[in-house]
Amino acid sequence: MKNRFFIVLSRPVQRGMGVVLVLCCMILVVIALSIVGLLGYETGSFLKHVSPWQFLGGLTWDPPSFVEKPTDLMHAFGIIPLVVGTLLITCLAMGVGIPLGLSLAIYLACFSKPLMRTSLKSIIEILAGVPSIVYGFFALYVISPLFHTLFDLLTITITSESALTAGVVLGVMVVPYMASLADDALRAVPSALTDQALALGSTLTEMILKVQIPAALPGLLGAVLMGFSRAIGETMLVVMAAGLTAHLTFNPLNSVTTITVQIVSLMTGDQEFESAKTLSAFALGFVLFFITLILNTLILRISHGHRKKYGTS
Amino acid sequence: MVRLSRDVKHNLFKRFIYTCVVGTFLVFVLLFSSVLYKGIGGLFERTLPCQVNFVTHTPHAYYQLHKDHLRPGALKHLYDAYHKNPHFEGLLSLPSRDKAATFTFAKWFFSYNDSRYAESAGLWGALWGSLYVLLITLITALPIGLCAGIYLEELAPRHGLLSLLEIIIANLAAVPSILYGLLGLAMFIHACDMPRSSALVGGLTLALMSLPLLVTSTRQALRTVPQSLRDSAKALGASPLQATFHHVVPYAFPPIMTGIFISMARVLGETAPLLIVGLMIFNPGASPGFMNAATTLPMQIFMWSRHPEPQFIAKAAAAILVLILFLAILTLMALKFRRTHDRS
Repeated sequence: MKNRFFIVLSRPVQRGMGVVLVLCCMILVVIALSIVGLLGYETGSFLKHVSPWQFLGGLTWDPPSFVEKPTDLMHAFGIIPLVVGTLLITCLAMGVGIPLGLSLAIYLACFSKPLMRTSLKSIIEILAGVPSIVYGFFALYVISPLFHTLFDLLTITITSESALTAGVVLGVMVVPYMASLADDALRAVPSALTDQALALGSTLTEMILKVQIPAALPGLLGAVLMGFSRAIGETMLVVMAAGLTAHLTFNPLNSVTTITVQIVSLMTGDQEFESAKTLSAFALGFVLFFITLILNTLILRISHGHRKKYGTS
Repeated sequence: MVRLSRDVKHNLFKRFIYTCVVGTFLVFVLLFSSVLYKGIGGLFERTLPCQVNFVTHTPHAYYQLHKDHLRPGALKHLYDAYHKNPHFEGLLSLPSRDKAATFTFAKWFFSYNDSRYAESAGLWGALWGSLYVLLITLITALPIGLCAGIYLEELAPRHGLLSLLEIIIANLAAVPSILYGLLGLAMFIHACDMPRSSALVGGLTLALMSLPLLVTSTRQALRTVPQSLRDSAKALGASPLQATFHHVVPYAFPPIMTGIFISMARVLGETAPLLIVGLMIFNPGASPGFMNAATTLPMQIFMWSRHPEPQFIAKAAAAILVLILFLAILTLMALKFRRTHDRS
């Protein structure tokens, strides 16, 4: 094999390189620490303005009203409507994304022929790389008018920035991502298991439902949770498709807002860095970080246990 | 309840799965065809050559005369021509609404800056902005990410500290990208006092975001190297570093490139962190430079798609087509490297 990276590695050079490599790793640790430190610090200074109880338990989110009358804190920074909005949109997304993503994965892993499989895998890879701004455009100019006419026919009123539009498109967006992960999980099931089931006379469907899916369950769960965590942190799509004002509602036909949308709308205006409004964006960021941290710990736990069980990666 | 036979159940399940798959792809076909349909209007334009005589008409009077065939912003073109030469008498190509006008590819779309007028708003600023942001991200994140990945996979001593690092990196890769925007804002703009909205700040912020991705993909690439290669290199007397850099890394070169291309595609399409560090600015006078105010391609799409005028929405769709073209090239490069690796 041609040696493309040939460098003479004398002892001192090797020692120097070792130090450089360790420093590169340290940079990652520094980034992690600075995210936690920054969000923690700014959230701390935000909580000097607003008590944690008011922040986590408040039922209205309306930062502009804080500027008008700063005494009325209880009605300015309550995170509950944002959390409800985020969960509503994410759950709608999962309602669309889980069935479509998992059936695509089952098709890829069990039903497709090799040529179809490789070409579909490439297509899915390209689709997973389509940025969220494209889906945002799609939601805003295609799906939203479509739903509008559709619900008009049924004589149901739907707002143009409804949670339903954002949720459905978000669900479509996580499909390629989830399908690719779930496909990997299904393929990682040892063929000894699946072959035995087929040899004992079960149909392909019975094999998939009773052997392959239960065996791959932790991996599938991991794929779903990855999709979930991605959907929670998604920004551009919801900025374009969901509303800006916070309504505390569970009705998917209404307009709701999410944590990420509020971070964007708080940070893109022109206000000084230390104001309560800007600080509240960091507090929202901290909550978001905390949620994804929990989800990710769960995913790592699941995949770790799975690896132990089968002894494969 | 009727008990279905096993074969019927199998057929039903198969049909359900096939329906879901076809449905999913129909949605994606709808996505791309609708963007294509809207984007055609941005990439192509109708122009109508008009006989103009500024000696007898003022631009405004001329515009009033032919208003029905011209787009609202055509007046600007007339004034531009008038300011260049007030005694103009001859043919002038104007953007038109007329169906009989010639339908041509709008080459200027790639060389004009953003503008308030849809007839002269182009992608130039966004194109160089994206290029510079991508360059800065590559220069800063690539060496660090590769080195960290190689160290963690090949050279790091296997003990508790390593697994802690692994957990940290896995968590960093899952952090929503908007939080990197907050970090970039505090770190580069407030602490280091770099100019807001510059390509430099945007690139560095995206570098923070792409580092964990690069590390993870490099490690996965190195995992494909057979253990025998490392063992034989070491058995012949190579030090760990020599074994790594002379044998393992060259062997894993194609999958490492795959990871790099995929991270580049991600950086090119990323928007949220750039929104926070202020790359969403309208600058008709954008000029290339690392410290100059910049916008990127996705940012331009976002700004145009918020305009109420339908021409700007067509522009946004056209810009999406350009962005998807770039991303498809990057992803196909990535897949090509993976395929060469699989073959060898």
